[in-house]
Amino acid sequence: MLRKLLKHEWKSVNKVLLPVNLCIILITIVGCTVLNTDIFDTEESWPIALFLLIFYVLSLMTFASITLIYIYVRFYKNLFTAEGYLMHTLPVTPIQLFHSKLIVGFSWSAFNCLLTLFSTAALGFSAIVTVAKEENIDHISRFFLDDPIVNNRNQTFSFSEMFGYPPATFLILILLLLLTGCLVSIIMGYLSILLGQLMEKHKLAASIGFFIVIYFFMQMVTSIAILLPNSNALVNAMDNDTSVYFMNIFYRNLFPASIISQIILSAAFYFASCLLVRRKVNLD
Amino acid sequence: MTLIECNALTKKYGNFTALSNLDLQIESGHIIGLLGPNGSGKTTLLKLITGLLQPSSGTISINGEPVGAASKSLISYLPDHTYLDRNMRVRDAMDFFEDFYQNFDSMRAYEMLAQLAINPNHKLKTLSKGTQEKVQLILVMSRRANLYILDEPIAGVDPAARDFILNTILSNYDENASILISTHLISDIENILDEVIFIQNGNLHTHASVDDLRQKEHKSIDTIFREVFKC
Amino acid sequence: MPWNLDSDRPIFIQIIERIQMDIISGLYKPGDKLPSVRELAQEASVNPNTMQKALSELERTGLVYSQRTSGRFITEDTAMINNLKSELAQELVTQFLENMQKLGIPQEEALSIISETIKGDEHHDTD
Repeated sequence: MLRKLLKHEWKSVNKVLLPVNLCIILITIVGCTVLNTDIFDTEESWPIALFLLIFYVLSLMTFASITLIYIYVRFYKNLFTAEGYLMHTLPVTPIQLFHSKLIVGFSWSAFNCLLTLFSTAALGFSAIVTVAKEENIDHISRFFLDDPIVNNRNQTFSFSEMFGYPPATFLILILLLLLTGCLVSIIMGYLSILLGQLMEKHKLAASIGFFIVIYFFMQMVTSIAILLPNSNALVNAMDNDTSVYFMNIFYRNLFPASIISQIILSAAFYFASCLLVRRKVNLD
Repeated sequence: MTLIECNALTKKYGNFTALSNLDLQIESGHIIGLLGPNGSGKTTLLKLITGLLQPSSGTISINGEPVGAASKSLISYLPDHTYLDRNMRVRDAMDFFEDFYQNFDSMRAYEMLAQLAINPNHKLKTLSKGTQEKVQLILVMSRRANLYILDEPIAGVDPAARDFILNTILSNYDENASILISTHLISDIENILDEVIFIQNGNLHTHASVDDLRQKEHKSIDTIFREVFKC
Repeated sequence: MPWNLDSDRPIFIQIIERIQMDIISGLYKPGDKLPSVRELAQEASVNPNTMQKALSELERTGLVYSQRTSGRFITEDTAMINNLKSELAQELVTQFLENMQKLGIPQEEALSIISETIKGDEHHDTD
């Protein structure tokens, strides 16, 4: 049954999200092509460059927002409005309904996130290749290969020192951070909608209220998780002159703390949602 | 086995009691009218049976089973509004039903669509409201279920369509199944009923055979209803 | 012919009356096979259980009999059918006389009204 739910869920959701996310690929290609031209070689072209950059960033943000908001809206519309009369009378359990939405919602959110990351990386790479000067390219590639580089003030920088992890690990950690971030966003959106359904009236408004509350709660938890274990180390690092070490400690702690707190929050929200979904819907 | 058994079924919304201590048995092989004024608890009862609501207290069992995924496969429910995604095409809705419900007779369903000259490739939102409702009725009646629940199937529908709907209901009749019809339009439908249930203020007022009532009261069910529920 | 069923009286009784009329009027000949319960119910737009009840009652009186796998048939007992015809005719006459009495018309006058109406009809037929 779950497989059938998934099949129909993919079918409906793909119709909307595939075109939207395909646009990301489109503007990435356009962006890379534009960067390969020499329109940025002159001083006068910088305003245009800025404008295009802003446009690009806003586009990515829009596509990401559309993806997330559409996933939330679909959950609400398909289960708690007129269509709910069909979904809740299917020979499936409420948990199966929830899982189908969760799997498809998270998959799309994650895909969109990775696509955005890839797009940014692709454009960043194109920019470096076309805009940077010869000797700087050599410096930059060595930096990303974790070789120490020396600047004109005879200061040594290495990726590991600055960011706390070698580049490959750093990349993996960023991916984990983003993916767990997607997961927790999706589940907390669903949970807000489910909580809103507990109210007798103004269910939608209540859902939005719950969303805001949970969001702030999440931010608080994640911040505490990042700062608390390392408050001593951070204070010490700030006393030293080199801000590099501060960044090192910050990044070293940021990742595990965020990732773990997001996983724990996801689990907590998931169990809360399962309880609510079983409790039964009072459809209007 | 009794098809539907309700024991002391109660549903409250805060201080308001929609259904109060309802005891009801429905057997298979009947076409039953569920009658009562607005707010009497009819819709609440139907939602409790279909699993869209949970009781505050009391029990319901469908063929001996509690309400759940299993009972939902035995019940074919037609609500009084569109519940399909209007962006779907008619044939997508057919595929959907065929996928989730075994015993969905798609051949029969397509026959009925052809009878009404409905093109399966059209999107639901391009069809008139009346036609959308007929599509839903066809989907619901093409399932081989143990219980069909129809909520206001002929309200807001022209007389010819009404005849088509009543005919569809009759031609789908199966002595192993029952059809529970909730409606206000009693005079149009009373000839096809063999039992009626009157619900008033969340209580069961009457559950009787239609011809018995007519014999006793020498009146039509429509007239009896007006007398019982006089404002 | 459309089935005009009154909601005020039990439907199954009206079904019995209608089928009896169809038999007497010759629409159903003795020995004819009746359509299935389901078909009749759909034709009359009534509940199949109600139609079943009516047919069972007709079976009980012997006007209709059923053969296990072949279905239901009209009796071939023409005497029974004629008896029924007389009974129904009698009922109509009794009803007519009662109605005339309600109008305050005495029986002899009722009788002459009948004769004149019949003569009038004969005139029309010859015109």
